[in-house]
Amino acid sequence: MATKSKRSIKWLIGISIALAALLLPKFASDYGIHIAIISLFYVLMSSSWNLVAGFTGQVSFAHAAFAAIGAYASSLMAIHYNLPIPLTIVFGTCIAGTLGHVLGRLCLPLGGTYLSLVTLSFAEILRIVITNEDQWTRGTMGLQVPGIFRDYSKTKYYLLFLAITVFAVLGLNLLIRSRMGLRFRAVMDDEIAAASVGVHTTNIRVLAFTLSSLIAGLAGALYGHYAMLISPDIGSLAQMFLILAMTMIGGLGSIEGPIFGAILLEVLSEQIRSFGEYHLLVFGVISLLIVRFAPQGLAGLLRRQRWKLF
Amino acid sequence: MEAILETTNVSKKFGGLQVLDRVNLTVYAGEILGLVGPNGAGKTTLFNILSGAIPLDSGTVTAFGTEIQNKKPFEIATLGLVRTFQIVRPFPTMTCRENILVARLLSTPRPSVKDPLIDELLESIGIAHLALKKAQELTLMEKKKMEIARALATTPKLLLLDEVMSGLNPTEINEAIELLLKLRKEKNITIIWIEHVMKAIVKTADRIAVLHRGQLLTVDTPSKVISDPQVIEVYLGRANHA
Ligand SMILES: Nc1ncnc2c1ncn2[C@@H]1O[C@H](COP(=O)(O)OP(=O)(O)O)[C@@H](O)[C@H]1O
Ligand SMILES: [Mg+2]
Repeated sequence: MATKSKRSIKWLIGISIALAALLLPKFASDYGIHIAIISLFYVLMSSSWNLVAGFTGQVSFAHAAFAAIGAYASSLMAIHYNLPIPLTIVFGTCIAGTLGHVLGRLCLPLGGTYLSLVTLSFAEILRIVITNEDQWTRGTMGLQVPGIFRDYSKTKYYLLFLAITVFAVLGLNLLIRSRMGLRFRAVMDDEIAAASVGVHTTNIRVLAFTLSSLIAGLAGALYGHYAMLISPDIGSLAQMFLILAMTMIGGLGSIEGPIFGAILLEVLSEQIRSFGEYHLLVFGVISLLIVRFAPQGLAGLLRRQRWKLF
Repeated sequence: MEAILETTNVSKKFGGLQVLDRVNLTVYAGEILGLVGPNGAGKTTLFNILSGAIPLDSGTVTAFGTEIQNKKPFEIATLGLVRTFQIVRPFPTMTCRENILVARLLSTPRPSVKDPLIDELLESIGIAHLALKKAQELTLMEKKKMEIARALATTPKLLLLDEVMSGLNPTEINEAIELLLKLRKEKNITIIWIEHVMKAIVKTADRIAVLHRGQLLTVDTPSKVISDPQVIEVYLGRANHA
């Protein structure tokens, strides 16, 4: 009985959130819709970073860089070959996924520290390349990118981002609950024990890293065609640390955590934008406190209150 | 008798310490081979080499007809050689059932959620009531049992047990012995069994191998081994001092 009523409460909350999300463009200002779109971009980024950090236990610093790869690959294709945007987005996504796969294959067998160091340098090298190859990328001046829709509408972009984010998050949730997800968690819990019962630990990590890069590429490509102006900043380490903070504060290793974290921090950063870049510093400090005192993040705190959503 | 595992001149050094010194051991299909020896004799190191967890310096290991000394742990497990750990290694954030389900994926890529073998295993190891408990909440004993169940869920041909009985009380030891005998009979598993509890191993093993300072002293039937003066000298004598 108790579980039944709990389940109907869950459904009620779920339906209200879905309704609120769908009706948001009816009530929000253009600025409000913009923040919602950017929040969804960060939900995609944090949720996919969490797949590697939270479910297989390895820290990549190249996640924002993969978004930049997706954004530039798709934009350049659209500009130079005049292909339909949906096609170039798929292309950007695949490029990010492929590079992620190669990078993962190269460094994941060597262990976690190695991955962190290599991805850190990869991100920095990529930023330098994008900045310097300005005959292609227009460097720090920014690249003008065609939009997805013929007539510009924030509502359309919002609904597109919403659909893709919901699809991606549900997909991640299914994956984590699948047998493959069980292997992910085993690798994270104890790599040696996992191998001892026949889990191909390197393949599992490469798979997680590839999927994660793929989603980052998709998010980046979508972002580019929404913002219509991209600069090397998309792949910057500042972006990376924001995504890291969102995931940590929201709750590493849970499905709902990165969603809470991304929305909360994006909305907060808009509020405290006037303080300049200090908001990153503040988020950094909060992340550290969370890691120390509530390692499961906000999701963990909420779960303790029996409000688990997924 | 058919040899299921064969080591030839397996040697391993840690720094200046010769931990294994030209170990030649043959294990026959269907037997329970006890592996004893004083603390630090190199028993766990031998398991680490057999299971691919650490590389050997020289020698070969042949299991099920193939050389495995250069294979990775997951490949060796896939071949059917599976071990437990002296210092337990559960998946702490996963439930008991999930721990075992991971291992089950090796033999059955798509087990149903209510896979009967898992319940059967939990039942026969005596931890069915813990199925939904997180592994990190289990007692050491429960973790050990869970690890045996996990190893068995891969349906191994050769099972390496590393001191699974230390810490058990006599009743539990008897239960564990019965379980081993039952496994051998029903599932046709060959077992190499490292144990400190000499009594249990003498009662259960078909043969006993004695390792001392990295060298294999003797491999023989339990009655012969316990009356071997050399064994009494180095193993039992030392154990009494300890
Ligand atoms: N990874 C290692 N590095 C260095 N020395 C080790 C390592 N593993 C084991 N040893 C040493 O090798 C010897 C044999 O250890 P071990 O195989 O665990 O013995 P046993 O299991 O028979 O008690 C001990 O002296 C131990 O300290
Ligand atoms: Mg040992």
